[in-house]
Amino acid sequence: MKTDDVKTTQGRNAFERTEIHSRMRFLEKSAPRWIAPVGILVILAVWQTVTGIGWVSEADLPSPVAIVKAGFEMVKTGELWMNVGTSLARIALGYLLGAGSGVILGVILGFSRISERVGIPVANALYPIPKLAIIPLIILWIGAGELSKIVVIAAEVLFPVLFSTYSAVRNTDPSLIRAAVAFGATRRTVITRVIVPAALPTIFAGLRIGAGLSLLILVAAEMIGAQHGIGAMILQYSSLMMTDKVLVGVVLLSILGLILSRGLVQLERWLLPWKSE
Amino acid sequence: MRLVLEALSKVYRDKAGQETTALADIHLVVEEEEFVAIVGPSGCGKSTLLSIVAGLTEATSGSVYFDGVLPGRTPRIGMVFQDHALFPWRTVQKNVEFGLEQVGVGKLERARRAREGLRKVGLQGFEDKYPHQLSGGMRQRVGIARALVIEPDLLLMDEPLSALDAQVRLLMQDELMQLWDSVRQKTLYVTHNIDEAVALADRVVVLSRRPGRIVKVIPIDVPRALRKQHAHQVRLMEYAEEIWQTIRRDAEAAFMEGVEDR
Ligand SMILES: Nc1ncnc2c1ncn2[C@@H]1O[C@H](COP(=O)(O)OP(=O)(O)O)[C@@H](O)[C@H]1O
Ligand SMILES: [Mg+2]
Repeated sequence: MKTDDVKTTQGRNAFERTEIHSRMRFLEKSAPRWIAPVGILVILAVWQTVTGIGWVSEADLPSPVAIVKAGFEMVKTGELWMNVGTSLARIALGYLLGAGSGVILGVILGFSRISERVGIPVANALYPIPKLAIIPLIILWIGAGELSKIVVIAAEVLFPVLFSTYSAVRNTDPSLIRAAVAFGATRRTVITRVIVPAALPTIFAGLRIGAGLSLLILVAAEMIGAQHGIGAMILQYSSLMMTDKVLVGVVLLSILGLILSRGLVQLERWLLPWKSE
Repeated sequence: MRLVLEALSKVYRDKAGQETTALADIHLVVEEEEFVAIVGPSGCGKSTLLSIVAGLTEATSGSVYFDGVLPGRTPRIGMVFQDHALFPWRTVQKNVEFGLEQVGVGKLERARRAREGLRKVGLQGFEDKYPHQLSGGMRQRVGIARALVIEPDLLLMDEPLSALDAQVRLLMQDELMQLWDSVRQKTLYVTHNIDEAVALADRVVVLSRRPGRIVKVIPIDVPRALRKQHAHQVRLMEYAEEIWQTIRRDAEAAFMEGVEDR
């Protein structure tokens, strides 16, 4: 509607104009960047106040300051680094072993019909077994040493990685394989240059699931049969009722989990630049 | 060197043992520097034919071979796909290099030739983009560059322009014509678009509906360079009309069959 139209209609006081705006605006939730750290600080402050003025006893829930103090103490005695180091070594080796064999087995099962026929039923049967349940068995087989923890973690990580790799390989876009073969790619090149890169995004989904599970099983394994490690440390201090030191362990696990998932995101950005913007 | 298809047939057998004859008794020779278009109603076996020539599908009977090959030379085949089939994890540059990698061209030479190929299709400056960052027409130009840079002895194109919208399609058709003139490699070009076939080809092979047989081979006797000129439009339209009349009944039958299926 032109302005002079409006004037004339206004003169006659007949029509009004109704402007149209996006009705999708309620979906565009944007939040300033500073909101996350501020939120965390507020929560910490409330926590500190609540425990500081004695609403909640420090024996049940130590204040953030008390936890940091306990943490420093444990750094001084050296037990913190020792336990963290032990856990890190276990999870790193177990995760690498499990994820690595998951990817390799997944590619083989996805690519070769014969191994698929044999391997998939076996994998399907082993997958649902809670790996916690076989910790005693593994200890019986290979002893209670470091290797048993690494193997349990690997067994836990193996299956989600294996299945996501397998289904990604099975579902590789056939037109890409045809294109590669048309340009002279051999079987080997098709696997390394087409199937694996095409499967990587789905493999990463499996790796993320595996990362969460690996932390879980690490702590469980360390609570069942270990002298050292974050899990053993938490168990030990909780039987001594030293809640502040228990919470140091819990905070460490949270940090470890964050680092693990951040690391995977970073690795994904680096390996799959075509997926991110 | 020429490409020979001899008594080529293809029967698909599904799991229930049901047989579909896709191609029956195809004889065709594509000479050096010849552009042959294959048209026919959908489902007549055009893609199957190209797939057999590319070595991606085994023929049920008959043979495909290059005749007059120099000793020790492996003829190269470049292929362009309807859905472009670019590798999404490779940059434009690396996509174009793919065929060169397979024939063992060194890294520097590969990069140089891919850049040159991209310049030819008008995509300089887009080397580091990923396929998903390009428009449909640009993607298909990458697909064409990927096929051309290996300097193929035979160029296979399966409806390369069919996924594009009408305007882009016409522009690309002209571009393709100029590009082809600069390379002049023998070509099998599948399309269901009759005008496209007439605009591009030296000969148009018309296939019948299932089973796909050659019903007619129509040489287009207007030099490619003159086909844009007004004076030749009527002649080209007559060719298109002739082809349309040849496949019309088939196309109608195929259409009705499609209606009944629903
Ligand atoms: N892999 C396949 N298995 C079974 N039948 C197929 C297969 N590929 C194509 N066909 C059948 O062969 C016929 C020809 O298909 P196609 O070559 O794709 O035709 P066009 O490209 O001319 O549309 C069709 O009837 C189709 O259903
Ligand atoms: Mg087709």
